[in-house]
Order: sequence, then structure tokens, then C-alpha cells
Amino acid sequence: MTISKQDLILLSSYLDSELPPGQKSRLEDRLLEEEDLAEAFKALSRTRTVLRSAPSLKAPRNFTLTPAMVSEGKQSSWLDAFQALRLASAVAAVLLAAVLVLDFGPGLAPVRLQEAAPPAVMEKAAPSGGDQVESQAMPSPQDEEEQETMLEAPAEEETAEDALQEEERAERPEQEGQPPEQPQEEKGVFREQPPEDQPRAELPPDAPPVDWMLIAEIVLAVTAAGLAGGAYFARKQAR
Amino acid sequence: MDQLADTIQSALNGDLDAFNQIVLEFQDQVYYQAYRIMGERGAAEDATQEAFISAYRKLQTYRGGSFKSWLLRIVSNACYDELRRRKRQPVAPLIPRDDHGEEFDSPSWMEDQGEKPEQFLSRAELSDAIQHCLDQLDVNFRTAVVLIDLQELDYASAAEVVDVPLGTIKSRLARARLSMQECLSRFGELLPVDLRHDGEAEQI
Repeated sequence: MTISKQDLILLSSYLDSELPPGQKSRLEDRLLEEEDLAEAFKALSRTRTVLRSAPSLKAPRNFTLTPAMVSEGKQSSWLDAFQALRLASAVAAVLLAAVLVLDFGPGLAPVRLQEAAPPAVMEKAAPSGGDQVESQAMPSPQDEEEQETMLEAPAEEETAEDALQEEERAERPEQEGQPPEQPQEEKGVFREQPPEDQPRAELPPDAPPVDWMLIAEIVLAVTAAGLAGGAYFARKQAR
Repeated sequence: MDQLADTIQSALNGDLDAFNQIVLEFQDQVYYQAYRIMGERGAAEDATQEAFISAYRKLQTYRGGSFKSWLLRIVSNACYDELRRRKRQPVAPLIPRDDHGEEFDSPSWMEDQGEKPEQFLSRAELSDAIQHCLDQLDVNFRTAVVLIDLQELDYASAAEVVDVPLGTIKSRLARARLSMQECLSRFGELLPVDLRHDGEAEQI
């Protein structure tokens, strides 16, 4: 008794009622006519019955999970953490590099010096108002006109570097216990006409300048180092 | 079914006790699947445990449909992984050597020292005979017959479990049944009387 592979598939599917109606009726006709096919079908049917009569097995124990089972070997989560930390570390490093370039890049140092200058000095260098620092860093067309006007006045030709030197001179006697002599005019400018839109005017005149670039560098360096360390730890855990 | 959906939702929210209710409900079927594919109780236990841990972690990937099929797919994959791992492991050389390092010429070493079919007949039960025949099949054919004839899934569900087209499942099942028929015919005495062929099982 030999039947083709195709007939075997037909018989098997017919056994499980998985044949489309057309194929089913054609096969039923053939089963009535072909003895070998009918014999093969009976044998296949018996096999199926034997298989389905096999006793089902019970689980030999309970497979319930404990919190330890669920938490242990969480490699994928550590790997995810590693990937995230690695990316964040790379971003922080790039940001740090960008800040360093801005900090030490050619032509950018004066901006930092001007930003570091205390308000009183800046006031002197730019008596027209507190916008001077911003206008020198990023001059707008209007500000440029004002600057031109200011540059024409002899008293206003001092650069920010000159102002810094003057400030250092003013600070020196103060450190030695002698209060610096400030010109009455300057005191008057500072005390009597505080610029309304100058945020640094709220700082005391002798407050140390806030170096935001330096702070940003430190924060980014610490962040990058921390993230890199975290990525290393996560990688180690995942392994 | 609604109760199962609620339990699954609770498990998704991190309720391990809820998931353990699911484990208790399905562990027999999952273990049975693992045992029929692996053919060993210890390996089946490991695969079952691994499957439930995996199911808990992947529960959010369950998109409805038959939860039993979803679990059977996970445990079947766990079994495949284990079988593949065993294949990769180095094995002892089959050809024995004498004290001088020469290979034995006699094929007697290839003789099966285990029990003969007759001995097996006298001891084994029907379930073991079925397992013995299943073990002779390729794992893909074995899985098809286990899913449809032992787990009693329909063709569509079985195809979903093993992720193959319906036609592939039909073909694998038919060929697996033919192989099982030939193998089981040697264990006729174990078969129920009404299933023996013409009184004495020369063929099933």
C-alpha cells in the first residue's frame, strides 16, 4: 500500500476536517472507489486515535515564579541601561567639547572677559545702559549705532581690558585693608541711576564674577564621567 | 476567558501573584509540550520554568488571541534553543580506539546495548512508546504532531505557534503521522484492543 505525498496530506487534513468543501467531496468519492486509499485512511485514523489517547502528563511540580526568579539575570535591562548610558555619555562629551571650543576658541576670549567684568566697571565702560555686555557679544544694528556714538566720546574709549585692569587696581588697596577711592561721579552713576534692565546690578559691587562657562565645563565633565562610569557598570552587570 | 484577561492585565501591572495563577492554570499543558519535544523530564522541567520566566518578561508582547498558543510558542522556542545548544556542544567521539590508539574494526561497538523493542514492549506503557516514536522524528515534525494530536490545536493555531504557513503544517503533520504509524506498529500489544489491526497489531 503506497500512496502519494499529496494524497497523504489530503487524508490527514480530511481526518481533521481541515479540507475545503470541494476537495472534501472529491476525496470522499475517491475513498469509495480506491481501496488502497481507504486502507491508508483507516491506518492514519488509527494512528491519530492512538496519539490522542495518550494520557496527558501532569507537571511534576509547580512552576510558579518568585520575585527572585523574575529579577535575577535581568540582562536585557542592564544592556538597555548600558546602551542609554553610553549614548548619554557620548552626548555629554560632545557638549563638553563644544563648550571648550567656545571657551578657548579664537576670537571668543574677549567675550568671556567682558562677561566676567563686574557691573560697575561695565557701567563705566558703557554708561548708556546694561545692554552693553550683550550688545558687544551679539551686536544688533541698533546697538551698533549706539556703540559708534559711544566710541566717538574720548572718555568712553576704554576697552573692557582696560576696565579690568582698573578694577584690579581698585581691588588691591581693598585687599590690603584700605578701601578704594572711587570717584564720586562713578558712585553717583552706580547708586543714583541703577540701570533698570541690568540684572547684574543686584550683585554687590565687589562680588566675584560668575564664570558660567567654567561651571558648564565642570558640570559637563562630571556628567560625562558619571555616565561613562554608569555605562561601564551596566555593561559589567549585563555580562 | 474574561477572568483570564483580567488576570493577565493584573500581571501586566506587575502583580506576580496574578501571573502565578496563570502559571498554575497552564503549567500542565506547557510541561506536556516541553516533555514531548525534549523527551526528558528534567529537560522538560527546565524548559517549562524558563518558558514561564520568559512569558512573564514578555507579557506585554501578548496581543490577544489564544493565550495557550502564545505560551506553547514560548515553550517550544525554549525547547528549540536547548536542542540547538546541545547540538553545538562537543560530543565524545563515536569511534572507540584500543590501547594503541587504533580504531576498532569490528562494528560490534555500534550495536545498541540498550533494550530491544521486545524488551521495551514488555515494560513501557503507551505513553512511553509514543515518546519513543516521537524522539525518532525531526523536531519540526515532532512539534507539529505534538501540537495537533497531543495538544489538540487546530491547524491555524499550530501554524501560529511555530510561525510557518498553514500548508507547511499540513505537510509536516501528514508525514509525521505516517512515521508515527510505522513506528507504533512495533508496539501493537500496547495499543487498546479496538485499535489493533485485525486482532494482532502487525500494523496499527
